[in-house]
Amino acid sequence: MIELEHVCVKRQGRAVVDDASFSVADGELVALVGPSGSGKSTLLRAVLGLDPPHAGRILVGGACVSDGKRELVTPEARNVAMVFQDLALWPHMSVKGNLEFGLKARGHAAAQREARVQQALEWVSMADKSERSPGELSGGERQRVAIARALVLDPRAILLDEPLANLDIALKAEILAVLATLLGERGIPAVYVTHDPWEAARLAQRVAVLEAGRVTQWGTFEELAASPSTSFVEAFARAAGWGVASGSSIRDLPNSAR
Amino acid sequence: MAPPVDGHVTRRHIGWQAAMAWTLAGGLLALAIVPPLTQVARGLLGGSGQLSSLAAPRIWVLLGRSVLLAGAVTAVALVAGVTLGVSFAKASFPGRRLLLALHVLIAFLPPFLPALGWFRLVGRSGFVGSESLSRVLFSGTGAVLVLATCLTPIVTALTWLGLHSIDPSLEDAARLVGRPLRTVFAILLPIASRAIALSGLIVFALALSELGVPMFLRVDVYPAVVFSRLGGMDFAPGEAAVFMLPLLATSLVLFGIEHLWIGRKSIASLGIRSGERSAVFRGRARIAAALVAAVGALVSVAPVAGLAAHATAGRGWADMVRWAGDAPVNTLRAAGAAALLCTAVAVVAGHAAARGRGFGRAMDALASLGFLVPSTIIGVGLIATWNRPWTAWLYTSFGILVVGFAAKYAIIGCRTLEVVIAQMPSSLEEAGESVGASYFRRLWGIVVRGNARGTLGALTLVLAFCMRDLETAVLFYPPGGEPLTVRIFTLEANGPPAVVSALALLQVAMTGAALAATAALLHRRRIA
Repeated sequence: MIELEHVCVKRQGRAVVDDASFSVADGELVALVGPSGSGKSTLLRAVLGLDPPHAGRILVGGACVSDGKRELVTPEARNVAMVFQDLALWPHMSVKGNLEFGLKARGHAAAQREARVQQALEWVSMADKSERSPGELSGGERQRVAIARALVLDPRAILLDEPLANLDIALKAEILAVLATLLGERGIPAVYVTHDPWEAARLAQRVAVLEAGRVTQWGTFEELAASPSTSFVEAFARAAGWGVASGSSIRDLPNSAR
Repeated sequence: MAPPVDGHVTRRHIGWQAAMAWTLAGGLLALAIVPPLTQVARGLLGGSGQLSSLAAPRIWVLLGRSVLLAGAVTAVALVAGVTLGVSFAKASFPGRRLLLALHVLIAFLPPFLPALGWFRLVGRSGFVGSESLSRVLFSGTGAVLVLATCLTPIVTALTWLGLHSIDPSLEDAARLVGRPLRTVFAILLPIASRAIALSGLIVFALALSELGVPMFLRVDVYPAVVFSRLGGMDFAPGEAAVFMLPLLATSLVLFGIEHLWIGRKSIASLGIRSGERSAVFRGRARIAAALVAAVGALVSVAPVAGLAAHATAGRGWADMVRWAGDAPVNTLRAAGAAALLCTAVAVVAGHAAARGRGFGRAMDALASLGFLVPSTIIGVGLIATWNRPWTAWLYTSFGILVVGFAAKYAIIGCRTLEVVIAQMPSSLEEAGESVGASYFRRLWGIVVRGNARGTLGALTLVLAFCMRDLETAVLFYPPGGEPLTVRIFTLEANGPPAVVSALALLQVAMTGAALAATAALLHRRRIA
């Protein structure tokens, strides 16, 4: 479970995230949406421990990792995984090296590392490409490696920062299917940042809307569509076809459109 | 433009303006570098009868000592510079920029000045000197340490640049699973390794060329043997040419390493978050990084402080202007002209290289060769090329210094601008081309003005390197036209010590003023 209680993050004296609160239950995926510059990535970095918050509490798996005054748990000890927008695959390492790095840092023995890397690559159907370098992979393959790298450490939570932003629609659908399966099987709480209503509808159970650093609305698709609190939420819900205009909901969309 | 045919890349049309600019820039660079190297090669062929001079064991002992000295300097500079580069780049602490500026300034001074400063501090009659410290200073170890302190900032700066060009996401991804030091050693330094390797190569080349420090500290090195054959009692130009053979071979090895292994993409790296700055070290690690940075700055400042204290105590300031004569003007005139020339050439060559043109790559290779070949070779070649009756107009004027500086330091401008221009999307130029802007209009209006900070930075870097030069200029400065570095070097032996210290500080002040003026301009928002 991930819990954020009145989290505030400042940069150069300005509140980038202001009094943000929401929670993600085990097995749940929350879509974090909002206009560009609303503080979505900063909020994720606060959860990761890379941008310490100035106020509020962050709990991961029930343990408080940051209380606003101090970082109680360092980023590497939080065991929260992240799939970055640009994937951030280390270019000087092979696919296997990318997956092994975290396992080595945590002191896993070579045999155990080998087995876990192999297993994680099988999850994303990349077992035969473990010796390739990231530069030798296609866009979709790199995406799969980034997902495998996030999952290989058996994380307590996973954050995804617009990981599919640069993919074409077919590849996006393929990777979304992989993600939905893997996250569903493991029951890991996940936060998925996206600008794409279609992606949000495809994966998430609930939506948190962040505008100018504040969570302006938080709930299920139906709740947001029924009473959008801001014009952004209304526009987003319309774009997603959540029933604001037509009265239909995402659940009514044909599979081909999802 | 015709679409590419399967399997073929369409060769882009080169307009007459680009062709003219390439011819001019290429011609100027070739004129500065090719004739001296050709003359040296001819000298070697002509002096083949004197090859027996190379049989003397002392020559090979000296060459070995020089290579060892340069290797030791490089090793010390790499360890210290990478530590400092990581501390400056990956920790945030108050006064970081000031400490970095103080640390780096020494790299823009001729190394014999800090050597003189250390002598004023720890020499036999220095402020904190003693017999034993003096013995260490006047030894191979002393030469290594002095040169390492002078050249370490090159490693620091390139490590810093290399680390800043890494997309922060790569670092964040590592921080989620590994401790800060593991992130630095396993992720950041390997990715920045090309920039660090380039810095090591530059330090080695400069240390191998170095004449001032070993001569001042009375450490016999190979370039001094060549130098001694070019004047005075040991005058033997034929032997000097033969003695250059091993140096030339070493340069070619360095050149091969640089072009085949390190390559031209040592620094440039693009990513969607590459403009962001991040700090790996926090808490106690941040304090440790700040301490490392402070020590780096202190070591760089100490010899300058020694010179200042000595000049003040000995009342050297009073006579400084008289002893300086025209030397400061000579320095500014020659270095300024060379910097302008090199920057103009670098805009054309660096732009071509950044856009993947063969001409750019050829110019880069030529300029690299000029830098990696020891100054002694360039100097001897320039003398052989230009010391003729019909070229006396150039050889006896400050123009010969401009040619020498351009041969040696053009690469600094070319590489800087290549990296800067490579970061600018080529679509900006294509947009200009699509509305009918000519090559010169695009080069000036989009490339130069769009990268005004980078262009100014390149100009200042070349200027500072020309101002610090001793090894090239000392061989062929025109009568009455010696730059300040040469004036100080010649006065070191028999000039009034306090005045020499004051002159050294004048050199520091001139370099500092040039760098400070550029820093002030770079901070103005109006410059792109």
